[in-house]
Amino acid sequence: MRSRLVAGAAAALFLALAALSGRASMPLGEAPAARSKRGMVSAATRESVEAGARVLAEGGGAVDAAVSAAFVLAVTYPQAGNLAGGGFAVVRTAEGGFFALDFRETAPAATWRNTYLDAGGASRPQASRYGGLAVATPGTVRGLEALHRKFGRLPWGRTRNGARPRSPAQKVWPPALGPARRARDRARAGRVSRPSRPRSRARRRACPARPVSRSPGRSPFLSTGRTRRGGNASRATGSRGDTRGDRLAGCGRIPPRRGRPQDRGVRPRDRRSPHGGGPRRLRAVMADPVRVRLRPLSARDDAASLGGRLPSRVHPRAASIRARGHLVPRFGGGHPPDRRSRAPRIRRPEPLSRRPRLRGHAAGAAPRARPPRRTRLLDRPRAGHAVAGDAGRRVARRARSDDAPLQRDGGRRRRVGRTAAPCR
Amino acid sequence: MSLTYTLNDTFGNGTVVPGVGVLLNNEMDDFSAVPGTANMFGLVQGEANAVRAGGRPLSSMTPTIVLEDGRPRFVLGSPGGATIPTTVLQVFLNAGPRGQPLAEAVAAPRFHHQHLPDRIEVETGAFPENVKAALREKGHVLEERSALGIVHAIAFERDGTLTGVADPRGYGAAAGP
Repeated sequence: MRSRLVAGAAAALFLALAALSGRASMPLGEAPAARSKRGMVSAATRESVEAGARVLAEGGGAVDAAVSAAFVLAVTYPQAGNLAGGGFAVVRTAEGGFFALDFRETAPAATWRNTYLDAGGASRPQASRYGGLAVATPGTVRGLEALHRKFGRLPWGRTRNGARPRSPAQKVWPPALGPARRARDRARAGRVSRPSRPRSRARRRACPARPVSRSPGRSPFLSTGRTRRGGNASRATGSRGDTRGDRLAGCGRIPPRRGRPQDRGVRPRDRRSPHGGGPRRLRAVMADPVRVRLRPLSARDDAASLGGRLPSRVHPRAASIRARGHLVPRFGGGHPPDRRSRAPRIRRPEPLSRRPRLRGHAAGAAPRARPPRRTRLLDRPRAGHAVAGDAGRRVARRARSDDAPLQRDGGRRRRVGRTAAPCR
Repeated sequence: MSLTYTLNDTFGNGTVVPGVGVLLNNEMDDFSAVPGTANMFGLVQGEANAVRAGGRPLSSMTPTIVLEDGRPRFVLGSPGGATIPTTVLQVFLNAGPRGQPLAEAVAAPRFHHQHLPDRIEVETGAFPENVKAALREKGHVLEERSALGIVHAIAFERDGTLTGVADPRGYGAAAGP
C-alpha cells in the first residue's frame, strides 16, 4: 500500500502579470502532454520536472517530488520560484485524507498600519513593491520542510539528491540549497536566520583567501557550488563555532545575538554591526506555516459570516508595546505569541501537528481525537527538542536522524541536540 | 498534491540578499495599504486585509485538487495574480464538465473579470470577433491580453493513467517516472 504512488505532484507557480505580457503569440490547439501510470510532475521548468520525476522513480511520493521541484524552481525559475517567498499546498493522501498548508509570508512584527502611507495618509505604492519594506517574512523553506516532515517518504537529504543535476548545464542549482539548509537548521533551533553581512574592506584584508565579489550585477552563484562571496555557501568558512579569536580578527560570521527571537521583535533602526562601521545587519525570521482546516462551503458562508470569524485581538507583544506608549498594530494570527504574557490567548488557524504522518487518517477509520484546544505555541520542528507524548519524541528522534547528513555536510557539528522542557 | 508558491511580483522586490543569492518577495503589496484603494493587480480590498503585524495578506493562489466520487480527477494550479481563480476555473470547466482532453483544456483561450476594474480581459483569440462586437455593444470594455495564467495540470484517467500537461504559454514541462 505504501509503495503505491499517491498522486501526481503539480507544482505550479504564481508569477506576476508583467512576465506574461512578453509572449506575443497565442497558443492554440494542444499543450504537450506526458503519460505515466507511476506518477507525474508538472511544473514551470523542465529541470524542476526532471528532478521531481527522478524522486518519484527513486520511490518518493508526490510530496517528495513537489519539494524537490520547488527547490529547483527557486533557481531555474527565479521570477517566482523562491526560497524567500511563500505559498499554499493541498495534499490528498492515498487513504483519502486531506491536508492543506498555508506557508504564506507574514507581515513583520514591526509593521504598522501606516507603514505604507506618507505623512498625509496617502498610499505609497512603491514602498510596498520595491525595497526592504516590501518584504514579508518568508515562509517557503519552513513550509516545504513541514510538508516533507509530514508526508515525505525519502529522507530530506535524499530529496536533495533527487534534485541533483546530471548535466553541467544544470549546475546552477546547488548553492540555493546551502542557504536553505542553514536557514532551516536555524529555524529548527529556534534561531533567527541571518545572512552574513557584506564584508568590509577590513574583513577582506584580514581574510584574503576567500573569493570575494561585490559587483551587484553578477550572479551570486558560482559553478563550483559556492556563492561568490565565500561566507555563506563555503563549508570551510566560519560559522557560529568560530573561536573568539577568529571573530575578533573579523574572519568569522557575526556572533549570535542573545535572547529569543521574539524578544528581538522590533529592531532599533540604526543598530550598527558589532564589528563597527559596517552596514546594517541583515536579518530575517521565517514565518510559521499553519494548517488550514478544509471543510465544504455551505449556503450560509456569505462574506459577512466568513469575515465575522477573523480574529482581531491585539498581539500580546503589541500590548507590551502599547504599555510603552506606542501605536499598537492589530494582530491577525501568524506569529507565536509570547507565552509568558497574560494577554488573551489568540486563536490561530489549526497549528501543524507534531504527528509525523497522516497515514492514520484512513477513510472510514475512527476520527482521531482533536488535539487539545490549547495552541501549541512553538510549533516549529526543532532538532532534539523534546515534546510531551510519544509522537513528539518520535518526531524529535526523526529530526535528529534527518539532520545527520546536514551536519556532515557542514563539516562540523554546529548544534548539540538540546533537550528542553516539554513544549507546553 | 498541488503546490503554488510565489515572490508576488516577477523577481519579488528585485532585491537579492548579499552573500546568499536569494531573491526576496514583495508580498506586503498584497495587503491593502489603504483599504479601498487598488494594489498592483488592481484589486480593491477592504479592512479585513489591512496591514498588520503578523498578518497574512490575502492571496489569489489556488492550488487545486478536483475529486470525482471521492477519487482524484485533476490536479492543477497556475500563476497570474488576480487571474488565478478564473484561469483555474476555466481549465477545470473545459476538462471536467465540458469533457475536453486536458491538453486542449489547458491550451484553450481564456478570459478574466475581477469586478474592479470593470473590464473583461481576453486573450487574443479568446472570442470570435462577432462575440466581441456584441459585448462591446452591450457596454463591456474589452482589453486584449497576450496570455492569462500558465496552467500546470495532471489528469487521472479512468484507466489509471496519469496525464501531465504544461501550458504552452510558459516553458514548463510534465514528466512521469
